[in-house]
Amino acid sequence: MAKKTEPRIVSAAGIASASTLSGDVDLSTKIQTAMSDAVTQAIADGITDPMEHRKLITAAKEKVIAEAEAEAAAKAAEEE
Amino acid sequence: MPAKLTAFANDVLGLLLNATAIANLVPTATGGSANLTIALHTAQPATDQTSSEISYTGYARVNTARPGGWGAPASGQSFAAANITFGAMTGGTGGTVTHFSIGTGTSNKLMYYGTVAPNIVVTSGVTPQLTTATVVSET
Repeated sequence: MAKKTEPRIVSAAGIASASTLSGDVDLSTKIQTAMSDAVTQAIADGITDPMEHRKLITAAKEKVIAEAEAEAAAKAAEEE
Repeated sequence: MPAKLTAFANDVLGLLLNATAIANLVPTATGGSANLTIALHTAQPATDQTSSEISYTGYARVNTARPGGWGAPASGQSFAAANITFGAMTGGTGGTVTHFSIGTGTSNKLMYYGTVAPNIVVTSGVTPQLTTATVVSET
């Protein structure tokens, strides 16, 4: 006898990070990975509220950008 | 570093996702697509929205209204205004959704694509849904 399947909704977040005009593909990839990881980890931690996911996504993005800016500043200082 | 200020990233997202004009640059943003199409993929799409697009009985792309389908851009990103819910799988093969894409609604043209976190395994009875944490980010 075939196993009966229960209808269910399976939710996830779609994460797209683009560099339409800046051309900084590496940074966009890092940001997208960080944002995706933030959602995956939140769900693993039992956090299912999309509004909380938004906060974590934004924080993950800002962290990557801050690190990239700090790295660029350090590199510029070295070159002086 | 990216050579685009956050304010202009917001402008780009507003224009593309919500048909919001950009002062002194794109003064009129009306006349384009009234809807954007959201598709699900089982691998990173390579060309257009048909690329690695999932296929099962009950699946169809979902429209987001333009304007209105995406929230007002802030911090260089825009979130989905509402859950994006696809048809339930009632037959066919299904698969694992790893990516989603946003298209213009014409000729399968793909605008943005990205990962789906976590991946969604679509089997019989499953209704895939992208939540309001779905985001497009510009850098």
